[in-house]
This record gives sequence, structure tokens and C-alpha cells, in this order.
Amino acid sequence: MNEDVVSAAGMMNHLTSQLNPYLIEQIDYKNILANYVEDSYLIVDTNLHIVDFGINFREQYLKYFGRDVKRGTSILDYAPQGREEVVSSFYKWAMTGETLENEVELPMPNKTLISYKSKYRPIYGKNEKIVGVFVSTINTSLERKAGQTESNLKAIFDNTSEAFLLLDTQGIIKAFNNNARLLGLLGKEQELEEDRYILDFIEDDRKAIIQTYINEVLTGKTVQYDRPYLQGNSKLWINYSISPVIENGQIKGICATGRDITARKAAEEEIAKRETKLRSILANSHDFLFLYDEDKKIEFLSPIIEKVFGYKNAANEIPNILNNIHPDDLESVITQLHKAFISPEEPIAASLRMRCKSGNYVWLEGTFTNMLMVKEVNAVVGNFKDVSERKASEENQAFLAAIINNSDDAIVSIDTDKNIMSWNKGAEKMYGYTSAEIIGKSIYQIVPLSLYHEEDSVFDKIYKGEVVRSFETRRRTKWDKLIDISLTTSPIKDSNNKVIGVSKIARDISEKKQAEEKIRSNERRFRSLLKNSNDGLILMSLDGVMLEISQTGKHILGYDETELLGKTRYDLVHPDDLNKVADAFMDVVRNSEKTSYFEYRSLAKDGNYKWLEASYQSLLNDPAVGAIVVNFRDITERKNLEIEREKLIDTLNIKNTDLRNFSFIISHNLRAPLSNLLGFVSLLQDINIEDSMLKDICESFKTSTMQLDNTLNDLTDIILIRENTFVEQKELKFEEFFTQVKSQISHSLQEIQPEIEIDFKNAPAVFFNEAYLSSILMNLLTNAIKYRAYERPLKIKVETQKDTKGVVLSFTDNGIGFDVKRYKERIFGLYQRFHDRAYGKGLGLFMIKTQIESLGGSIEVESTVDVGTTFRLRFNALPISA
Amino acid sequence: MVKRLLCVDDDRITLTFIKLLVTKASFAQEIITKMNGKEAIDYYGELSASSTENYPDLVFLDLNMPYMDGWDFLDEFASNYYQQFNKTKIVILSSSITASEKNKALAYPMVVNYLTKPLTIGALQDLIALV
Repeated sequence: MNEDVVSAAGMMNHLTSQLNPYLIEQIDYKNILANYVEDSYLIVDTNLHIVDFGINFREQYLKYFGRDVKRGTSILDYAPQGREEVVSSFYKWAMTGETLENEVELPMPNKTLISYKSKYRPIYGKNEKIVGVFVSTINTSLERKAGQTESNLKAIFDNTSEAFLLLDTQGIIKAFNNNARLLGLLGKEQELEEDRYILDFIEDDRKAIIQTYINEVLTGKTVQYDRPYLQGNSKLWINYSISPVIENGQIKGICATGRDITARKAAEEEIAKRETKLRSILANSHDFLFLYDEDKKIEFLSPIIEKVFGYKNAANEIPNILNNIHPDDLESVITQLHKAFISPEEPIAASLRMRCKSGNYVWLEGTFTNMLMVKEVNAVVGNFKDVSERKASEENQAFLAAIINNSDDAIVSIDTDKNIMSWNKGAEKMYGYTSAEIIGKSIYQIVPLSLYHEEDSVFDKIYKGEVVRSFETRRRTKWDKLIDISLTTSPIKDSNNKVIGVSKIARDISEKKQAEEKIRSNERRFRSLLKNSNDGLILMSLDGVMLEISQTGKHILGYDETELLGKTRYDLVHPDDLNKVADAFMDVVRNSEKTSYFEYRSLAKDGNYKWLEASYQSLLNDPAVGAIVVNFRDITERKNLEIEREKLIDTLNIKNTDLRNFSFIISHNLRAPLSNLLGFVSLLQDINIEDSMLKDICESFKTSTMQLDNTLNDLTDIILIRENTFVEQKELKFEEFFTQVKSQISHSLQEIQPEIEIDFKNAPAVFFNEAYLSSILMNLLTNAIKYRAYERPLKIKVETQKDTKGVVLSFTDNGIGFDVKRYKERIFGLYQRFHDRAYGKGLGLFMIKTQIESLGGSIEVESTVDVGTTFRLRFNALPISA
Repeated sequence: MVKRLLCVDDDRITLTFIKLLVTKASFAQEIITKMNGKEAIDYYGELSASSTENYPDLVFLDLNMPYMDGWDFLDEFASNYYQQFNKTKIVILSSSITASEKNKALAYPMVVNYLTKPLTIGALQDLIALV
């Protein structure tokens, strides 16, 4: 909205309302207001009756003629005597459509002459019809006075109640009246003299301020101020006005007037007092009062604003009210506010939500009243109440009503005569009667005859103030069908807590009844399962009390039902297994989805512990079971075997460790004296021995020592292979390694000249350890040489094949062979020799087996005595990690 | 030539053998023998008390010994006596041949070599260069 329009709207409406009977539309209100509203004006209808007048008009008239002006009376009643006709002619002239002005000088009852300038304008109504006259008057007396003679002036001076003082521009006193001294324009003590400097007559402490006033007036301004002035014991309030005297646009002098406004001041003080009183009353009001003035400024009269909205009641603290209205309410508020603007003094109801500082909305309900034309108020008054709580409870009630109406439950209320008062949709659906059919009828209409006594006793109990719990019963429908219901009955009380009726909430439980029947049949089935299961079954409550046990269960444990049922028998659990059992139990209690499996020992009737494989499963939420199910099976025999096996493995492990330690100790303890022997042998070498026998002894001593050293080195190697957890592996080419090995024993090969056939093309390489592969090939080759058949040339064939599992190397010779049937078990054993050939020490095959097996491979042998031997070594396809 | 050689080994035969070999090779002027780490440490305790400058310049140390083994001797010597007898050089003489033990021993600042038994003339000749 345009602010000018808003601010003018109050005034315009004020006029509109006064002119309402004439439905004036075409008056240029704004122009009138802008030009004349400050002055006295008068609006007269075509019958010359006063419709309205400006306050100034009324005051002036009262002042000069001593009469009050009233609306509805004829304008001619107020015309000065003898001027009725003249006045009447002006109005009539204006009503012909002319705009005219006149100026008259009238003698007042106190003999003074007052001059008026008046302007008469026609007022147009609908269809451009003239409906009245608008007269504005300006009192031109003062203009005239300036032009009057000095003597006239003096007369006015002397006769007025005001104090007058006239100075020239130099501040020299030119004229003054008696009141000038009386009302404090001049100092009290001095003799009054004309042509003297004004400040000479002013009390010392006032001189400076008066000088500044004079200076200001000489710039063309008018200075006005109120001051108290002591006269005897009474205090007078004087309104002083100092203004320039202007002639032909030039400041010719200074006019000072003083006016006794003591009465007005007293009235003002009285009003201020009253306002304070009013404010304090408002301050304690729970209503929420505010003024919304023409400038859209809002003044809150009641401090409740702070309590309700959280804003401090200060102009700069309160945000624009329109911005804080709930968006959904804004339109209706503006509509109502507009209505208020066009309907003065009529309270316009409004309801809105307003945002608090906290961001929440508060429900307000109240009125806007346009009091813009009431001068003392000059604003739209808002009078609102915080009704948030009531609104909330209304909403709740609406919500409750909706629930009741839409509930599937049948909700029925009956009065003290057991007649039906209300009947919701649920009841219609359940019992078949529409509310129209049943309301006012007796409740017995839906109670089966056999249950009349039940209905009576429930009703009596409720009346006695007893609490009636929900119970299951039956009701009769419109079609005489009996339905199972669960019924809740409660009293309806009035505000005095007197029972005025009974409410009945019924739920159809026919389906629930069917479901219960199903559960019961499931239960029977379950029970039979329990009795005939092959496993032991126990039903247990949440606190561990046994509720049921199956036949097999009793059989496993050997107890009869009386020893178990209704009891917690954790005493039967082996003490070492108690924690395990408790944990498993807690697991299913915490998580009903889970089945926890465990093994434990339970004391059987015969005094022995039985190993049971058990599971807990929570069927607490299953209405057919409502218990924790323990399922168990006797695994004593299996468990005993397992325990025995574990014991055996433990023993073996211990023995194996002992053996390993033993072999370490042996190898180390042998190593030390052997080192000494080797040392001494080396010393012997440098000594020249003459005696040939001693020389032989020393030589044999040396040979034996070297043999012992070799054996011990081999043993140490084997121990190292077995203990090594990480052996480096990489891709190795068979051909390369085989050639290398051959070159190492080139002496023997040259001597024996074996025929060696190699074929590595199917699997040229293998992923294996370098040292092991060398050692394996070396052992195989030296073995073949050692055990060759002397009567035929040695033939060796080495070939590799690849299959899905890895690489197979076969090594075939045509040597002396051995009896596989006889030696198969021992062939790869330590220090096994199957021939008496002196240089075989029985370590080679054991070494090969140890090495290939340590990397996940295997070795097999086929042999025929005097024909030859084939070793097949399988290398694992993938590297073995530690 | 080594002035004063300390041999620590629990095996008398070994000690006899070393004496023979050292004499034959004219490796040291004087040989002192101790039967275990404890005896050797006590010996250093005495040396320390007399604050002599005349201490062994080379030690042959076996690792596997009763009462106090070679490792404990090394720790004790390093923390209590090495500062005072800082010209001491130690050669480990062991029947054990694992690499980890060798590396562990050579980490001690005074250990200059790790030899596997038996000790040989050649090894002694190599040592002369080191001492």
C-alpha cells in the first residue's frame, strides 16, 4: 500500500463516514485535506444543515460567540444577527456549482472586529449531483491588526489577557501592555520605560537566553516556549511566543507575547496522570493491545508482548508486524485491517498466528478498531488475546473427534438410562446399525439376552465408581449374528465429576479368537513333536526354569520329570562349562534371531557327566511356544574319542619336541668334540711319523673323523630343512641345474660313462628352491651311480611332465633295484640301506623326501630287483608360503 | 703378535688344543684360560680393581657355556669393562654356524670376528692382521 494513501486513509474515511448519507465520491479529498483541514471548515447539506465542522471552527465560534456548534442544526442559526440572508445567499450560490470567496469583518460581542476570509465550494455526490457545500474559513484579523493604528493597537493590547511587548530590530522597547510585566515578559522590579534596551529589564540569569531568542527571531523564525512563572505563592505556566514583525517582506521589529496557560498545563498534567494510570492498567492486562498509527508505526500498550513474543517493548526492538504474521493468515489480516480502515470505530474481528522471537507461532484472536478519527487515539487499536492454548486444545479435540470417528473400534456412549447417545463409524461397521437407526435406542438392542446380567453388573460397577477392566464378551449384530469382542467400559463425567453416561469401546476379536485356536492346535502339534523327537528337547523360561522335556531328553539325562520340571538345574552343568552355557543363554536372550550352539557336560542321573551338543533358540516371541528351546544330543562317545585323540596328539607333540631338542643337543654336543678331533687331525698332518703302524693308525683315525664330520653335517642339514619356516623359491630350469650337477661329478661320470637321456621339453622349469633342487638331482644321480648293475652299462632317463597339479619329474635307471614289497615302508627312512655297498650311508633318499615334502611336493618309487628303479617326484604347482 | 690372549671355553680339550695351536703358530706371548663367562668376568673385575694397563688384547670366546654363557659375558663386558679396557678385541669361537647368531655377535663393537670350530693355523694367521 502507498504510504500516503494509508496515512490519508484515516482522515478520508473520517470525512467519508460523515458524508456517508450522500455517497460522495468525486470530492478531491486529498486536496481538501492538504489545504484546509488545518483550518476551520464547515460542511453543509442542501437544506443548509450542518453535516460536519472542523474543530477550529467550533473553537473559534465558541470563543467569539460563546455558543457551541452542533451537527444537524441549520447553518442560519449561527449567522450573526442580520446576516442570515447574506449567508444563505452564499450557500445557495455555491449550490449552483460556483466556487466563491468573500471576506467579511464582523463586530464581535466584545466589540472587537474580527475579519474572516471564506471559500465556498460545492460538494458533488453520485451522478455529479451537488449534495452540499464545503466552506473553509481563515481568520484574517491578525493581518489586519498589523495595519491598524497605534491607538487601536494600544486598545487591543490593554484589553487582551495576553502580555504584549513590541521591540524594534535593535531590541529597543517600542510598546508593551500591562500584562507584559505581570506575565514575566519584563523584569518585575524595574520601572517600565519605552525606548530602552529590552535586556536592561531582564533578570541577569535570563539575559543570555533572551539574546539568543532575539537573534533567532531576527533571522525570521518564531520562538515558542513554556515557562513556569511564580506570582505570589501560585505558579503560573506561561506560553511565550517571540516572532518577527514583517512589513513588505522586511523584518521591522519583534513581537513577544505571553499567554497564561496554567489551566491548560493543569489539564495536560491531569491527562498525563490519567494516561499513566491507564497504561498501568493496560500493563497488567493479559490482553495484547497495540496502536497501529497512520505511519504504520506500532505501539504496544501492554508489556505482555515481552512475555508472549519475546520482544522487548521498545519501538526499535519490535519488527514489522506484517512480516511476522503467519503466511497463511496474512491475506485475512490485510482484509480485516482494510475493513477496519473503512469502518471507523467498529471492532473488526481477526484471528492470526504471529511469529515470536523464538520462531514459534502464537495464536492471537481479537479485534482491530479504527480510532484514527478520535483525536486522542489517532490509530487503529488492536486488542488481541493469546489463544494458543485454546487453539491447541481445539485442534486436539478436533483430532480426537477424528480419531473416534475414523476408529475401527466401535465407540458408543450411553446415557444413564442406558440409551445410546453416540455411535461412530466403527460401531456402524461392527454392529450393522447406522447411527440414525440406533441413537436414542436402548443398548440392550445389541446385547444378547444371555448377557443382560453382565451388562447390568458392569453398568452398576461404573456407577459405583469401580474400575472395570477390559473383558471379552459377545454382542448381537443387526443381522442377529453373535460376534466376539473385547470391551472397554469407562464412565463419562461432567465437570462436577458426576457420572452422566458410559462409554464403550469394542474391538472385534473374532479373528483373534480364530488365531488363538490356530495357536492352540500348533501347540498340540508341537507337544507331540516334543514327545517324539530323537533329540533331547527342553523348554525353558527366561529365568532358566525347565517347563517341558521330551522323552529322549529324559532318557539321555536319566532323570524323571519331577526332578527337572519347574526347576532351574544349573547345578547339573559341569563347573568348567558354566560360563559357556551362560554365555550361550544370554546370546539368545539378547538376540532372539540367533541360535547359539555349544557343547557342555551335564551330570546324568548315574553320576557321570555326559557330553551334550546343545543349542539355545529363543521362541519367547512365538505365542505357540513362549519359551527358550534347548535342543541337545548325547555326544559322550564321540567326545571321549576326540579327547583321547587330542591327548594323543598332545603327547606326540611333546615327544616330537623332545626328539627335536634331543637331535639339536646331539648335533651340538657331538659337534664340539668333533671339532677338537678335526683340529688334532690337522695338527697330526704336520708331524712326520716314522713308525708305519702308527702312521696307519693315524690315517684311519683321520678317515673316521672325516666320516663322522660328514654324517654330522648331513644330520644338521636335515634338521635345518625341517626347521626352516621360510625357504626362498623361484623359477628354475631343470636343464641348467642338471648340467651343473653333472659337472660337479664329472670325474665319476667320465669313469663310468653312463648313457643319460633327458627330456625336459614338456615342463622345462619348476618353481622351487635352488639349493634343494641341486641337492635332489645330485642325490638321484649319485644314487643311480652307486647302485648301478656292474654287468651292464648304466642307463639313466630323466624327463618332466606337466599336469594340473604341477610338475612331475621321473628319474629311471637300469640299476640293481630293490624289493619294493619288502622295503617300501622304510625306503625313505633315515639311515636305511638296502645294499651292503660301503659308500651308501642311507641319507640320500631321506634327504630328497625331506626337501620335496618341505615345499609341498611328494616322492614315489617303483623298482624291480635287477631291472631298475624309477623315482617320481611331484613338485607342487604353487609356491608354498610360510 | 698378541701380548696377552684370553681363552674362554668350558671344554678343557678345546683349551688344550688352542694352546697347542697358538704356541705352534707363535700367535701370543701369554695365554690365560677361563672355564666360563663368570670366571672371565671375575677376572676382569680383578683387573679393574688393580687398574692395570696390562690386560688381554685378544679374547677367544665360546658361546655355549655353563654358569654364564658367551652372550651374557658380552653384555656384562660391554656395559662394565669395555670403557676401561677399550683396546680389547673379541673373536667368537663357536660350533654353531647359524647366520643369525653370527650377525648378533658381530653387532657388539668389540667383536671383530666369528669363527667356527675347529680353529686352524690359517685362521690364526688371518687374525694377526686384525689385531
